[in-house]
Amino acid sequence: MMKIAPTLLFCINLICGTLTMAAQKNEVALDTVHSVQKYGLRIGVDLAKPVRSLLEEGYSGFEIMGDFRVTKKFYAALELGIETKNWTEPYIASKTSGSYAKLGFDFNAYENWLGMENAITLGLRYGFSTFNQELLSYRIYTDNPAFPTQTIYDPQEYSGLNAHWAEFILGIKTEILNNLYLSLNVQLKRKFAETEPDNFANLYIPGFNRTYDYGEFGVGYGYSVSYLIPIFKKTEAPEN
Amino acid sequence: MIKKIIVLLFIIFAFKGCTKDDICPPETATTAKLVISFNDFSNPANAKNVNLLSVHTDYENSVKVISFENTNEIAVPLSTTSDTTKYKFIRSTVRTNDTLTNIDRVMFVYRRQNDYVSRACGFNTEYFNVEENLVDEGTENWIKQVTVIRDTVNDENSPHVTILH
Repeated sequence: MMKIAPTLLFCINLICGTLTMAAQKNEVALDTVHSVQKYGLRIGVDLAKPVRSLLEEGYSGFEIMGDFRVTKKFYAALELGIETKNWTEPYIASKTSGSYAKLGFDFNAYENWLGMENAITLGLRYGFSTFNQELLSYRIYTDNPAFPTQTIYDPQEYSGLNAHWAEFILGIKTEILNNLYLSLNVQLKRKFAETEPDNFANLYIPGFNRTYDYGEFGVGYGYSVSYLIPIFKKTEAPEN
Repeated sequence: MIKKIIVLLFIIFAFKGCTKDDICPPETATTAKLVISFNDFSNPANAKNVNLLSVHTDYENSVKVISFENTNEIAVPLSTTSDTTKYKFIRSTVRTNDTLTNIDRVMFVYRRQNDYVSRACGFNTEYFNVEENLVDEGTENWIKQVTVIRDTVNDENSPHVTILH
């Protein structure tokens, strides 16, 4: 099933790309006014994580983010977060807590109309997390009714674990008030290194979310509000 | 355009729900059973079938584990919660006007270790230093000898125990 996600994301890219290009052609001909581009540091928080912390039992998380516009279309981006998550499977209950950082860039593929500051961003991140995991209880798998198994409560703590992954982020940013942005993003991650606990596995990795036994991919989303601290403005002559 | 993207995002999240991590695949190597072969007492290298065999656990609430006709190899589970497993091996002999049953008791003693298997399968148990203990009934025993061939039970590829009869 995980193989579908990258394909879909690729399709989204293609659609975004072509639509934007189509829009661009129309505008250039009509536009003769100079556009002002704001450059600065945008900082924000993920709203989805505090909401989940309130609503979802066994979860707490918080993430702050920042991006800095480097060129017209490129932004350097950073996310820092902490997460605690109880993960329960029919045969296993575990708890993961730790912090993570994601560092990379966003590319704005959206050509704005004059004076607008919206964005459809394609981003890449390098993500890493350091975390602890606790195996709270487990059961021996058996399909034999002669010796029913019992849940074994023998908590074991695994500390000093870490994981590294690459992440593709597709996001939409809308300026709702002057310099205030709401953004929605989806993330596709691929884990490339992790320290596995002895005789157990990382069922959940802060920042990466749940792992899969049969693949290195992970998914995630974010819904955030951010504020742009303008540092300077650039006036740009329209391209002809 | 933004609407289209949001619809696509919803599709992605709809698909992310079910994976094969959710159920333990039957072919997974979970807790292995103890494989027992039945050989001829007078010629221990040769397999010898038991005509009617049933195996029950030997506890207060005895449970029938398996029953076979004409078999020389069976696999029985070992307890994952105790360091001993007690079994009754019941051989039935059908004669013209009645059926003779002969019950022999064997206890297996071992060390256990629980190992992580996977997200859906949880843990399994490996057994080490398996030893047998046949309850001696003198000439009443239909089982003459129990021999442990492989004292680690973590696969079912070949017999762990040979019963001579």
